[in-house]
Amino acid sequence: MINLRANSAQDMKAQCVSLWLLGTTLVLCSVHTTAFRRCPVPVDMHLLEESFQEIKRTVQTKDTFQNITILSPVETLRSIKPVDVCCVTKNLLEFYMDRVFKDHQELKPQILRKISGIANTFLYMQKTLQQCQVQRRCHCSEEATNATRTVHDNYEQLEIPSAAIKSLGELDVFLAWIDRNRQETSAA
Amino acid sequence: MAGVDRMLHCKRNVPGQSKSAKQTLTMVLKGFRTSIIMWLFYTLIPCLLTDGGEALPAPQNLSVHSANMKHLLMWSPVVLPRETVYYSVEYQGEYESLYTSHIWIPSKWCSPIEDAECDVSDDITATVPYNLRVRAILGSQTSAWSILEQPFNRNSTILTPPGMEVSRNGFHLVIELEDLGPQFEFLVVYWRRELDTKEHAKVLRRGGIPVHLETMEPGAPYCVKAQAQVKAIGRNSAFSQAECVEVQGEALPLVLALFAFVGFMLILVVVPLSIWKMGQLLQYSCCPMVVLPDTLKITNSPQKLISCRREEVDSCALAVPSSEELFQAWI
Repeated sequence: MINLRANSAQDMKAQCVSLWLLGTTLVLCSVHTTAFRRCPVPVDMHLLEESFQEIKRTVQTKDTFQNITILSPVETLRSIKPVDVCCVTKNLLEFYMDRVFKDHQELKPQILRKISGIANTFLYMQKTLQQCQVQRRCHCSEEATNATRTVHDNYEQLEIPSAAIKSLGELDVFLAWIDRNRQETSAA
Repeated sequence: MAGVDRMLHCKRNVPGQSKSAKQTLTMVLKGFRTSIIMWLFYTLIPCLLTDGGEALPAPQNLSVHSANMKHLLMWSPVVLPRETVYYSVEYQGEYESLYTSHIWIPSKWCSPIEDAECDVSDDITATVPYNLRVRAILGSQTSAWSILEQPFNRNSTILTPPGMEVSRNGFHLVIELEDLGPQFEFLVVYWRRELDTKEHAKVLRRGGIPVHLETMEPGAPYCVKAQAQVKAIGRNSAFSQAECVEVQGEALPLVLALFAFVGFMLILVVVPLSIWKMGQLLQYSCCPMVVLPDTLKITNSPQKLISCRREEVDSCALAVPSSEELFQAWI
């Protein structure tokens, strides 16, 4: 009788421990995944798309190298995993602000205003992403770093004015990618 | 002057040294010429610098007044008698000030402008600090640039509760909010007063359009309040004052309608009947049709009856008098 009781007590203990382990694993997993996914970027997509539409024709007609792409959608952007989205977004924003907008010399005031609107909006988005980075919610994997390097390499293959114009013309690709990620984050 | 005196003095006292006197004279003349040139130069520089007149003063006291995402840059006007002074406004976002600090962008609506204020809402398109500067223009003259002291960030705009019109269209609760532009969304909250039911909420994407909220039931009034939300700056206004509307009970109008119907039917029936009756009464009172009862009807003439009485019973001569005689006898 006493042995039976001892056995049942041990079984209970074992069950408790396994349940506790399972619970802890689940909690840790959810924390892990939320940490990677939750870096929502407040972005006025409507303004960005509208600004780009107004300069699109002017910019894209000046692009004389039709066979080359810098932000290649098939190879580079579509292959980015959700966990790398924050890092790649941050890097591409930096790419546009550090190189493209600076390298492009715009003379027409109406185009300059639109580019300024886009550049300053990118700056605002960048500040939010930097906060995520400080909170360790924006980890940069090797794939993310390689994808960024591909974009920079593509850019350097052309002369600066042509490269800048081409990258400006490809803003719609970048904006569509940001919008898709934003919708996927809010849906999740 | 001193040099000329010295020259004369030298000439008078030392007649033998004419060559050195000549040299001295040349030197003095050169010095004279140089001093004249220098004098001219010093007097003309200020004239060249001021461009031929008094400098155009720069506008002062720049400030931004911002409410509901409409940003107004204002400054003290430069007043010159009998002159119209124009102003030119330029801006620089935080991106430009960090990455391309020499770039200033002319304002969309204020390059140039005659008023001493400028609506820069279409220029300030991101939630970052913006530098703003103004200068005065008079013909070909321009003043120095006046820069706003503190850069302006549009997230400091004052958000006021939205203007709201709550109305009743039959049993429908309808709300119309003021149109504040595409950057505004509205949160509308409505509930039934005195009934302790939960609040309902609805998000409206634009103002300026009447929107149906709910079909109302009689009893307690419906109360509505609204709040403006601006996603671009992540801020909301305070809620507006609640406005309430009520519908009257349904039973009363139905009863009224029933009574009205019954009354109408009664009228349709009663009125012709009474007219007919009245008609009959009138007929009786003025032109009655008299019918003699049977017992009073004379089948034999009265003469005949009299003659039958007078004479022997057997032979009764039937003498039928004329109708006139009959009528006279009757009267």
